[in-house]
Amino acid sequence: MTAPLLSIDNLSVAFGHGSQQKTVVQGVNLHLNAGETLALVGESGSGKSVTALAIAQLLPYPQAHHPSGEVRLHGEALFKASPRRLQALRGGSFGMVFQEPMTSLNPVHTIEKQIGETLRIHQGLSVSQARERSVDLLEQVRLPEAAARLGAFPHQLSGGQRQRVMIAMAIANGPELLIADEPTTALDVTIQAEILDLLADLQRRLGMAMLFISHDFNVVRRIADRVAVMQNGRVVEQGDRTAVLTQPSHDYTRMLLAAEPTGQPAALTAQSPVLQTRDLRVWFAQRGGLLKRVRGHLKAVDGVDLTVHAGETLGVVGESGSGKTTLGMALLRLQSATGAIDFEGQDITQLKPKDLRPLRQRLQVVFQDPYGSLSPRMSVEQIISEGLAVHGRGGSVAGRAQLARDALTETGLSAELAQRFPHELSGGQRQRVAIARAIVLRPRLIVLDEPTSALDRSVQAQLVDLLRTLQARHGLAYVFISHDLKVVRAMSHRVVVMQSGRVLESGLAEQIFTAPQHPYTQRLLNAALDGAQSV
Amino acid sequence: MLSLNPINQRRWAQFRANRRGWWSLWLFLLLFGVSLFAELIANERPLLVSYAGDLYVPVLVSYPETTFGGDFPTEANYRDPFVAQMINANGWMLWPLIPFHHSTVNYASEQAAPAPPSAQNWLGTDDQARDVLARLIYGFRISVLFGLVLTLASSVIGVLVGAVQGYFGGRVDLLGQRFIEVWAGLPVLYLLIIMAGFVQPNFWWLLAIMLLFSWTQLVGVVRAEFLRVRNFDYVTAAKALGVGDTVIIVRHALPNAMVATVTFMPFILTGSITTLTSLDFLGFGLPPGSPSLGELLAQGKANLQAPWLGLTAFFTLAIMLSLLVFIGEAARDAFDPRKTFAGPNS
Repeated sequence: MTAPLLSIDNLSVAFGHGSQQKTVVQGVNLHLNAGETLALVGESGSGKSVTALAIAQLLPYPQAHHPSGEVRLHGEALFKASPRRLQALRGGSFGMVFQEPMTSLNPVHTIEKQIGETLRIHQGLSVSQARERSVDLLEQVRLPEAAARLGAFPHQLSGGQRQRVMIAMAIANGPELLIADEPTTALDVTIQAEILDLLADLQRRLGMAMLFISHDFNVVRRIADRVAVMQNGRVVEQGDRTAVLTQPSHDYTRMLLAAEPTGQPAALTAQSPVLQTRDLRVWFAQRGGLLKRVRGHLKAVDGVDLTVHAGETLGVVGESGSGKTTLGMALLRLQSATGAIDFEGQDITQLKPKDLRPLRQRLQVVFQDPYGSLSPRMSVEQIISEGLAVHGRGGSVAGRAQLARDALTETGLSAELAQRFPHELSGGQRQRVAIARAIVLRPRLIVLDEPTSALDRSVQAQLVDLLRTLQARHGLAYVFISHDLKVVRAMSHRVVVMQSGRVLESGLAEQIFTAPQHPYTQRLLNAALDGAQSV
Repeated sequence: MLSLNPINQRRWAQFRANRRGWWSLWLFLLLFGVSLFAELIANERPLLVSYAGDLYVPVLVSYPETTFGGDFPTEANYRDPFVAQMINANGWMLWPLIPFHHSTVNYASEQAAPAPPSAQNWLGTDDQARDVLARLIYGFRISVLFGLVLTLASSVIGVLVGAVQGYFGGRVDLLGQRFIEVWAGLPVLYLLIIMAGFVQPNFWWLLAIMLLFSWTQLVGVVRAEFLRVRNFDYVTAAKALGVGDTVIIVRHALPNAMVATVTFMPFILTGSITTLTSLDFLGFGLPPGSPSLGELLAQGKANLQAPWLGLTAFFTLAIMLSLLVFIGEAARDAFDPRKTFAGPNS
């Protein structure tokens, strides 16, 4: 056997020194042969990104340091390499692609300048040579109208296009190793599939090795040759893709693989509408010219009719920019809209804020980002009881505190967490606190805006279970907004599919998932679910 | 500290980690604390008088000269050799460390005013034979108090205006910003000079006039912070709970803006003190006779042959402003999120 392209021996990474020292990666052994794809899988905090950054020596040294281990590229020890040598290697021998294409590109420079920079530094090309090569690269990553896009700024491109530019930059100097850190996580499913195909294709043609970091087994299934599973900074299992995915030997891998949200929502009996909209519109005026006249409208939500019954989940599905979050905000009257919203038989579109306030306790919301939706300076108890105080519920302060604790227990958290602050909780715990804040008011309807998207798969499954239990117990109606079709399927009785502000298709969940009518729905389902079938 | 949440505990530790700022804070608090009791340190009345077996407290109570066997029903002048002789004959007097008030004219000076430092006047006397050290202590106190009140008042108004502009945005913000731009364009110093011509400025008049222009300093940062915060999910969540605007501003958004405010405050304080000093120097500040660092500087300039005047004022200002800037630096460090949260997860 020839020497591997990249070998990581007994790598450890620690942050801080002395008593503050925290080891986040421990004794990791990995190797990667030329032309091979190794997927590094794990939940958030498992140390997979830190491992990848350690290869390129991009950790925040000297706060980060390596108590043990060595990384070798072609047998060359990288930890002992000079800064100059490392600079030559980064972007030369290994290219990197990160998760967030918006922040990975510099917003004030054009695409040409950003790609050209790496070409000039590493290959010493002239400006015109660099331009030629840039066009060539952009064509390789299948960016439409590559030559015309050279002068574009990152904000003028879509998320998928930006990620293509990132890939073009990463492969510009013909790297032997491509490190891709969750390159598709921030993208819509249909674009995710295209980027994965592109990466696999480029890898074959250029003969690169690829270290692919992901939390998503569906993505790993499509692209990896070998898989390494990380937990708490250790590699718990590694081996051939098929072996790891079909016969996992470690409990943690089995747990990850089984952690798909499954099951069905409880069946419904009676149907009484809680919320109905007629021709709901949210149009944002686009003004232009000297007099700021309205030139046109951005139709975020355009003539949506929907009905939610008591105890029912209505799934709202669509890709980013389809208007589903705006729809949710409009239903809550947090976004002004035209049309009619009937809540419990009363049209709430014309209500004044003062008259709306008593209704708010029956109409609640849970947001996507569990880090942003809790006030960082309030304790869990204060957060949950705030709504009670506004609506004069629970009697005294002590009574409200008791209700808050009850709500915590109901969402599966210990009542002892009441005195903690949000930053002391994990993502899943925070999301439960956000749910407790909503249910403590005993609402009829909760708008759930991507409540599971920021969480690990295993936590997602638990949260879906919790939401279903609460629904059955209190007869809650949910408007469940998500781009994740698996979660929607596990939650929803009925589904609406949105694109560009319009409802393309609506009906019973089973019907939509098994026999989609609209071509867009079909495409969406294919992209999202085909990973599961093609092991 | 009463109940600091973990973030503030870390900030406090971060503040202490800046040793220069930490020592500056204590030194400044010591100096300011001492100067608050200026009447007990530098005064023309004794702290305690024993006369004919009775105890008197002239520092606090005004006694007529007749109490001590004098002729006049007016208040006793204890520095008068005649009165002193009468009291000492029947008892004793306990004098403060510096037996001069800031307005006391030292008729007993052996040299012509301004007199150089001597055993009697440690830092010499000014051109009206008043003790420089006594004037310095009172002047320091009035400068710092003026600065503190002005800083607090302009911060309260600035935060309020910034909060309203940033939180409501739209037309309120637009009109507010344009008004502040026009207002900030006015030449403050000239306006102060003109206004000083209409009213005889005292402490409160000067404070009010300067407040008219200094409140705009914080509006920008607070407004920017509120513009950012009002789109946060937890603010939207609070709106969805039915929480009113005032409560959202105070409870959810204001804590975010406090970081910027507290970081800015020491620098506003130094700015306020400097402005007062320069007005006094030009003669448009506190009424004549008030102890003030600016007036001392002006005397130093007028009496170059008496360098102790200018040097005293210069060193006092330099030390005071340096201490405040060091404290400000430490406060800035304490609220720097990169330093506060430089934990293992960064």
